Amino acid sequence: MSYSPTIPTTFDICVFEDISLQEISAYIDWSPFFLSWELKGKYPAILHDEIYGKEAQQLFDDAQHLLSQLIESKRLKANAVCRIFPVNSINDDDIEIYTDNSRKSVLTKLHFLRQQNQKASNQPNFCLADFIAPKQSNINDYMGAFVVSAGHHCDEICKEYELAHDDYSSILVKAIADRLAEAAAEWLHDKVRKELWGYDKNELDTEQLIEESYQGIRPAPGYPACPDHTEKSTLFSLLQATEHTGITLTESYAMMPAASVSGWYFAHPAAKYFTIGKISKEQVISYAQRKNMSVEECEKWLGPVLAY
Amino acid sequence: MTSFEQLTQLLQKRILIIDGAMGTMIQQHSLEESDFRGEQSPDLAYHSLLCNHHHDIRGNNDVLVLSQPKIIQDIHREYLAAGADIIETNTFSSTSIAQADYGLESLAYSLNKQAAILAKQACAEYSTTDKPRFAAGAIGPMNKSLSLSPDVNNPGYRATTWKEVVDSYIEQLHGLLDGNIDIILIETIFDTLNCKAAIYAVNTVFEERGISVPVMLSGTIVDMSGRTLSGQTTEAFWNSVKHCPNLLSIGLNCALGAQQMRPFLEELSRIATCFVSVYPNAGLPNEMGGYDESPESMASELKEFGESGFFNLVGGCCGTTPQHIKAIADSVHSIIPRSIPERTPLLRLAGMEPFEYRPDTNFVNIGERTNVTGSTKFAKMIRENKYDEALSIARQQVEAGAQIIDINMDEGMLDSENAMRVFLNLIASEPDIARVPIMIDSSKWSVIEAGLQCVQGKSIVNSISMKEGEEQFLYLAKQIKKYGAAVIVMAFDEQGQADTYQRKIEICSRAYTLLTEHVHFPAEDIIFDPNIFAIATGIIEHNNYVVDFIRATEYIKQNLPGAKVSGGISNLSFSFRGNEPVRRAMHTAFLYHAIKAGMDMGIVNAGQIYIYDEIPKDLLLLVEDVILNRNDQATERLIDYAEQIKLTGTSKDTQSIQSDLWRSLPIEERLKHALVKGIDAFIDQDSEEARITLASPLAVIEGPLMDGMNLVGELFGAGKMFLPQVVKSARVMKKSVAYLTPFMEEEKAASGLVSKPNGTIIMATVKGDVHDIGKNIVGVVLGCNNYEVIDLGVMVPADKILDAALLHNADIIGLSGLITPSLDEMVHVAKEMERRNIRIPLLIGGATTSRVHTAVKISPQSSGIIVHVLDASRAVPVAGNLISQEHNPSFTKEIQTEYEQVRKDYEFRTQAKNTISLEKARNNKLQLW
Repeated sequence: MSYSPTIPTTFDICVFEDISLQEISAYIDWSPFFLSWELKGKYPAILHDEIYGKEAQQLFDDAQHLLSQLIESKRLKANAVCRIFPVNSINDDDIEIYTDNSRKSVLTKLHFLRQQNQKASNQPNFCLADFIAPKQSNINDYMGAFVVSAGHHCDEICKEYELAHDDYSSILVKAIADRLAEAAAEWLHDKVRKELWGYDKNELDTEQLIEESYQGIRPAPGYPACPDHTEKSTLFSLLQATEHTGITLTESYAMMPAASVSGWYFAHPAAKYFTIGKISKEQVISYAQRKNMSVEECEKWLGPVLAY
Repeated sequence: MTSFEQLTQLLQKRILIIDGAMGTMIQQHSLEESDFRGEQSPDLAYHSLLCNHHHDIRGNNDVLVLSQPKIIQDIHREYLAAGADIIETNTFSSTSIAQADYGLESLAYSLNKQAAILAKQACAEYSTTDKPRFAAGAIGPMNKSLSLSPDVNNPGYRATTWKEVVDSYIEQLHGLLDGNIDIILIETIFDTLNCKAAIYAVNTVFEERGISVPVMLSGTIVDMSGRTLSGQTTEAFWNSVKHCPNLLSIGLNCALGAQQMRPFLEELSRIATCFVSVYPNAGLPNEMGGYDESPESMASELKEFGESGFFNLVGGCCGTTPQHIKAIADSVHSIIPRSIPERTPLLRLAGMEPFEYRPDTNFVNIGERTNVTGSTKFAKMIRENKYDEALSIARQQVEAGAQIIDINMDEGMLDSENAMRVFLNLIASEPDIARVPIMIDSSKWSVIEAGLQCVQGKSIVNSISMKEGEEQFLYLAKQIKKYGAAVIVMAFDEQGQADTYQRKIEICSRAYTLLTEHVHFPAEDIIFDPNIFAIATGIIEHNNYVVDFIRATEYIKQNLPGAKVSGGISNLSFSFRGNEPVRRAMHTAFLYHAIKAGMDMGIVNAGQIYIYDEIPKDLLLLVEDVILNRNDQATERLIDYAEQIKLTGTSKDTQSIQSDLWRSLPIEERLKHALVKGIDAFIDQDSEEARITLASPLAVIEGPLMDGMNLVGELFGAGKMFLPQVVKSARVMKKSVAYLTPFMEEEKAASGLVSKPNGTIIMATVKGDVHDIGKNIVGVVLGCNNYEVIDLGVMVPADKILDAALLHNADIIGLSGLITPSLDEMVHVAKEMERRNIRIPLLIGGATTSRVHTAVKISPQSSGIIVHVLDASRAVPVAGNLISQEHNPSFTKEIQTEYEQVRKDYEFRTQAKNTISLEKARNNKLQLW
């Protein structure tokens, strides 16, 4: 194959504080917003939906109104941090992160799971590590990590509404903050592709962004392609994320504030989202060994994907 | 005098007594396999067949009429001696289908005939002129259902077919009638479709033998939800079976004790235009499956029903004995029997729920999108066997307000009969859809008949006509009557489709006479479709089509009593395809005039209608000119206008003006309006005014505010209002309550009056999780349904949740979480509840939660009830059912049974789930390098 990884513009930690909500609001995908209100349909078609249309439009107007208030008052804050690392994959399913591009010393290892369902012929059993060049290939490859939040001070704003007996606006603010966090992640990914890593300089409009019709992916620990939430602790320490953004992790690896998004960047043109599906005990034992964790503890965190 | 007349005369004078349980009495004999085979009595019929039978027959009570005739006849005698006027033959399972379980299907006819002879002989011994005794041939529901799939993973599957069931019942009926029974009793009906097949068999046998015998029907409401096993309400059941020929009575038996049957019997008694019977079990079953209610207790309950005028015939089902029957007979002895109510004949249809078309009923919307000829999208789904998607179209139709759904599978490339059957069987297991009546739409009789054989409710056939001549028309009408459906008659005869006023009214009048006088088709079940054709086509002859339709409608409604008028609306605007604003305006204006003329229903896409007053005035004028054929240039002008709209996007005048008229309503109405519309702008001043007008803040809350919220709840539950509106309504409620609270404190201090919530619910996002949008929405929705919601916030550890539940004496705990580790934490909370002996219901919700996870992982941790709640709209009914003293037991049982099944399925699927080895998976990695 003719693909060769692009050397990133910078290996430094990049921190963004108080990102302009105005700027990131252009990246909002509104469809999940309607879903959180149990209005099922895609934006903008839902505004003309036979059943939900009228109500969806009303809700959208209310949301737009609140959003512009939030932008104007500057009370809700969005922060982000990201970094690109020199990496190679090892032992099929793991990724080594190096301290610098000389690749002499290993900073840390990331551990991933592999699909184990029976595939149709010429359908591979995916693992995220497949998108990274193996160490023995002698190809210098890279991947990134990021954390963003748009939820700072969200709770205070919501409290105020609740005190005024206005749960509607309180829930609206939370739902908007969630959207802004996702939008910030999209905004940052765009910036990474074009500037910080610089592997794909194509301009895309919002719809193309929502359709993810760009090169590369940004899967999040705890979600289908890498369902183990505990990898978030590696991600956070790689970025010193709490220090740089004020985002913390709970004992279940939920991010606080709730309106936060984190994930890995993979740049290979063939990189795509997939679902791990169910895995066997054999893989859990291997995974536990690699992570230096007990099998029992691994099973606890991987509960929903165990095939046994 | 026929036996029907004889029984009618008796029933007008007094309550007749039906016998008690046969099975309970047989059990007392503790019969063994050899007794069932009748080994000791070599001279009985079929002796050697039974003795040498390859299959155990112990437990096959019906076979005892051959092997132990004396035991059976003595039981009959005991009941007759106890005072029974009507005894049931021992033939509950004597169909070839039910007997197949024992390999005795070949004996079905003989079992019935012999059973009838035994019962008749016993009756003859006890009959006197004053107290004649009757033998009723008992026809049971069979062990195979036509409406329900025995396989949960394959809801469209049926273990038997309509034809098999009908044939099996026909054989049974011949046996019973050859044994000279006096009454046919179709009983313990848990699936109305099986009952309809039995009624069809009765009809067929009556035709073949040229006789008629009184028929009694008795349905079974399985639990306190008030529904049959196949999901019908009492009234829906009545609507679906009232076409039964020679119908003497309808009633309820089995599954419940007298006490539990009361509301459903009361309902039946109110609506049934024939005699009503009841024969309950001796209470609900105990832990051992036995029945404990004493004769005295049962008799006193039934006496009260009798005094309330609920029935004409009474007896006992499972667990009752001759002592029960004697006690009942004595207790109702002097009670005046129920008199049959007069009811106006109306079009009464049914899905799982009843549909009554009253004179004041608004125009009925018939959903049109489940039609392969009308919707290419739907046609594609059916062709590609995507029935799940097809079902979602049907569901959308019902959710959008269709009161009947039209289903049409007429397409050249389809096996239409099969598609109709498959789709209707799938619908039967979707209560959200199956609650409404079905319109079976086809131009082929074979497809219609296939459809009629799949619907338990009373449906409408769409359509028949005199196109093929009178004979064929009459034949089909008779068939439809036999199936118990209403019918649409197209204005179509041997000469073709009626296009003028004169032709329309001539054909409809002729069809009406044929139907009512020759077939005795109920006039209220006849619906005419006098043909809506496209107008504004440019052909002058077409211009008057709508005027003719409207005049014909007026004529039909005035001159053909009972008949209704329907039509397919979208044809009308065919020339303006692609121009939605004009089409909508045409449909709306057409309906406005046609409904005024008396049009009752129509096949229409509810989304394609405006409100008449909201049609822009300039467009309305043009459209009405066309529809009412008011001037020669009408068509041209509308076409010009349509072109213009296309160019400019929309017309100027489309914005409707929302007036503030509601501000002038009385205060109660104003508060209700504000709630339902979610307007909080005036809430403080309105609350103040209401408080003064109603003289008490509590009266405001319990009056207009609760009324408003109840309406909101209803609209939300019915899918007519959506979550954002509900949350906005709740905001209005909360603000008003906040305004009134200080005054309430005063009132409370003065009078001690307090408002009592429906229940207290603890809500929390579990430890380690911070996501709470869904939880907050559910909290608001519950709050506005008058639950006290104590929200502990996010990241709440188990002990804090449980402490709060104890402190507040909570009725329910609700847990929420979004990330997968929260699933584990929920399991932990359930374990803790068990350990601390807290047995209140636990609700589980949130994005990663599921019914399967709840059933498999959480539920087994605790002996209390744990329910997964899919979304906010489910939260209120679930909480309501759990808290209600009355509904909780059956709801809990339902959930437990459902989750048990989920666990079994899960186990099955897990076993079936194969993973390949890790090595194999790695060897099959994506090779990019």
